[in-house]
Amino acid sequence: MSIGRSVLRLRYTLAVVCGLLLTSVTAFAQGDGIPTDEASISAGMELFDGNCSSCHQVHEKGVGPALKNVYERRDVKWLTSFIKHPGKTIESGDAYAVALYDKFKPTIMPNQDLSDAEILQVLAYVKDATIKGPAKPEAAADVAGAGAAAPQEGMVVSSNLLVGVIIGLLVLLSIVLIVLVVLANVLTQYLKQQKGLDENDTAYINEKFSLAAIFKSQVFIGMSSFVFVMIVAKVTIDSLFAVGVQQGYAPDQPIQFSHKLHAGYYEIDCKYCHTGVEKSKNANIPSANICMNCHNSIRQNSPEIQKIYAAIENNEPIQWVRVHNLPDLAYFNHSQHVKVGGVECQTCHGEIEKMEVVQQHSLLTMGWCIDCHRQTDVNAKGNAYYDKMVEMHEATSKDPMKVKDIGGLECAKCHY
Amino acid sequence: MKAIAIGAAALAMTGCKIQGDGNFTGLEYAPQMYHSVPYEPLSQFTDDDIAGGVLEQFYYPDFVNSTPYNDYYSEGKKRKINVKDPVAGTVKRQNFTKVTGQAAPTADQAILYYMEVSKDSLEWAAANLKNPLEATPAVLAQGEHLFTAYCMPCHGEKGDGKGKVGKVYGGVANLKGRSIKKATDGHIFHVITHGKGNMWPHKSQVNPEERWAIVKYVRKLQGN
Ligand code: HEC
Ligand code: HEC
Ligand code: HEC
Ligand code: HEC
Ligand code: HEC
Ligand code: HEC
Ligand code: HEC
Repeated sequence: MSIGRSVLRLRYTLAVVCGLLLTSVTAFAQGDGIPTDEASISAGMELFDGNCSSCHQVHEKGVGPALKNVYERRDVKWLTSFIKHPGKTIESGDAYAVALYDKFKPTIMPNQDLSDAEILQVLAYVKDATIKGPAKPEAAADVAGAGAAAPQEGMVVSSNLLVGVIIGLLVLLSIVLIVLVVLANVLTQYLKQQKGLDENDTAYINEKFSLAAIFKSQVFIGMSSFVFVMIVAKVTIDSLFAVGVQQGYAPDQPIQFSHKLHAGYYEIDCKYCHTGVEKSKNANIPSANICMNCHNSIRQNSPEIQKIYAAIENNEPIQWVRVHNLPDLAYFNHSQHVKVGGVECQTCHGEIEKMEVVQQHSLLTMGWCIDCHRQTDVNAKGNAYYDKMVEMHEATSKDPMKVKDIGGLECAKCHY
Repeated sequence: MKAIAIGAAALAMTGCKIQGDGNFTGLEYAPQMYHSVPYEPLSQFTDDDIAGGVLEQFYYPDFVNSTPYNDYYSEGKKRKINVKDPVAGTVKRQNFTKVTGQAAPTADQAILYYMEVSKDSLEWAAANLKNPLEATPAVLAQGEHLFTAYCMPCHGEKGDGKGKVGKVYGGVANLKGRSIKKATDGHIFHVITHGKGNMWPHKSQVNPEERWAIVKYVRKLQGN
């Protein structure tokens, strides 16, 4: 064996070993250049989650096309340049890209700031997910209606149960009553047939129950007219106090807008719609353009949402019916209570986020305002405006500074 | 006899509904006190409410929402609601000195405070608009407060595009994505003001000062 040949063989084995090593490191499969190793796939998954998942899913269409098998539809080179600048590819007149664009109009995929290697990693993830097939669909708990409707059903069941129990008890009671009456009758009959009873006993057995005598008695007339007058007085006074109080008012609105869905289930902040609540006297009812921020693409076909479109097309405000309304003689300011005072909406308006239809929760009487001003501490922390006042207040009193102490009971603060 | 009369009156009172319920406002006493004589926001008062009643002597037809001076007046339709458009040719702006603590704006700030940035000037805004606010704790706290109210439903608490509404809306950008990390403050300001792509304008909800505070908070979310 010559040295030359063994060197050659050594080189050959080395090359093979090196080749093996290389392939095991980058693990190229089938020659399309997409890596299949775990590290690339998981890095790709992270990139996909961060940059693509808002528009793309692997198995289902979203704002953009489903990406499954995309590496078979187009080659890696095309994909890389498309992902980096989709706009340019479409403008260049590439037939495939233009057809895609027509299908997903008006959305155009934004340029993605990824390197070639990163795009390969994303494709590795897409390929891996394509091969693995769609995951089992998650329980459809995310569907809006389901989450919101469930608790109600529970309540219906429990109240049905309650009614059942009460009816059962009533039936039981009437049976007991009937049995008792029958027993009493049987006993009287029996006693009547008995001989040798003394006079008292016979009188007792034969006594007739006389309603008339009771009704005519002085005591009864006195008692009942007293009770009657008291009830009448109470009802009259209560009713008079309720005049001009609109608590409980819950008018039908022109669009069946639900706070329970928007503020409750979807947790949209009150300020998103009631934009003035921290800035001005009025909380404001949202104009149609605010609804359109979402409803330009959510539930376009619902007849209720069509009413928003109609309002915008006809240039006509939505005629929401006002619920809360103080008389013109009183001044109330939202920003003072919400922003400065730090009072929650729910303190005054009740649990709006659980209401399908807004209902006036509080009395909105002067007594209601004054009560709260007597009991509530001023939110003076971190508000330099109040520093001197707190100092002066603490010099004369041990109680915390209430709204009444800063003039919350002065007529002219609310009436002018 | 008197007792019977009082009783009858009381029964009559319980018979009629007094307190509000459903579509019924409740019995109103002196309803003219509820309605402002001057034109007030959110009032819902038409000439039907005055016609023929005691109110006729207190109100002029021009002060109710059904007046032809209502911005949305149209012949034959009663407007119950009053919505006013801003006066043509005017731009709402903040008090510059109060917002920034500076006496006078520099050239590029002046553009922001005295001129509306137009919808098709994204590139210009990205290159030229500078954030007048510093990232002080107070500004960041305000930014977080506003972001939670106006952006979180779609962009999610962390800005990753996974808000509850965002899932239904679809296609919401991840604010921590690389291209938005690289974008300038002016770019984000312009996106909030006029929207971009599938995102609609939010300028009617947040004023310029608030937009800049949100931008600062977005920067914090992005980790720089
Ligand atoms: C703002 C939404 C959006 C984002 C974010 C987005 N895309 Fe797209 N993508 C689209 C749309 C829409 C299309 C269809 C073409 C068009 O209209 O631009 C598309 C098309 C594609 C295509 C071609 C699909 C086919 O069927 O041939 C690929 C590949 C692609 N996107 C990959 C990605 C990757 C990878 C990312 C993340 C790095 C990403 N996209 C991020 C919206 C998006
Ligand atoms: C998606 C937009 C939106 C959100 C979010 C929202 N609201 Fe409303 N709100 C409306 C609309 C529209 C109306 C008028 C129609 C109605 O009364 O249902 C309204 C009416 C009201 C009213 C009655 C106004 C009147 O006429 O007196 C109150 C009070 C109210 N909202 C409080 C809240 C509170 C508190 C929250 C937060 C928990 C909230 N809203 C969140 C849109 C919204
Ligand atoms: C921040 C986003 C957002 C805003 C702003 C918004 N909505 Fe919605 N709205 C939603 C979502 C999300 C749904 C639920 C869609 C679903 O369940 O499929 C919805 C559902 C509805 C529905 C029920 C539609 C149906 O067919 O059941 C009505 C009606 C509605 N909204 C009216 C309004 C009105 C009026 C406004 C403006 C005051 C408004 N929305 C503002 C996000 C919003
Ligand atoms: C201290 C009690 C109080 C608090 C706190 C409060 N409100 Fe009100 N709200 C009222 C009163 C009183 C009215 C009636 C005002 C009027 O008629 O002038 C009202 C009216 C409204 C209206 C009708 C339109 C308007 O501007 O007059 C809306 C909408 C509203 N509130 C939303 C809110 C929201 C959202 C919050 C929380 C961010 C809130 N309110 C906090 C007492 C309160
Ligand atoms: C839930 C409690 C609460 C209710 C109900 C409430 N307020 Fe207040 N109010 C406050 C607080 C707290 C402040 C102090 C805010 C501050 O720090 O400036 C305040 C302050 C005020 C002030 C300013 C007082 C001053 O000296 O500066 C006025 C005016 C006022 N409220 C009017 C009203 C009217 C009118 C109503 C009824 C329609 C009302 N408030 C109902 C809690 C309440
Ligand atoms: C915290 C705010 C507040 C203060 C302080 C206040 N009021 Fe009132 N007042 C109201 C509100 C709100 C109403 C409307 C109540 C309603 O509609 O039922 C009202 C109603 C009234 C009315 C009834 C008007 C009518 O016929 O409907 C009179 C009279 C009145 N106030 C007098 C006073 C006097 C006098 C003072 C000072 C001692 C005073 N108020 C202090 C808030 C206030
Ligand atoms: C109704 C949902 C919604 C709300 C609310 C929303 N956005 Fe967006 N945002 C989107 C969508 C959808 C996109 C993707 C737009 C596209 O590329 O087509 C986006 C994109 C963006 C972008 C990236 C634009 C670019 O350069 O590609 C920024 C920055 C942004 N939003 C900031 C905000 C801020 C700040 C707020 C709060 C004031 C906000 N968004 C509120 C839906 C929303």
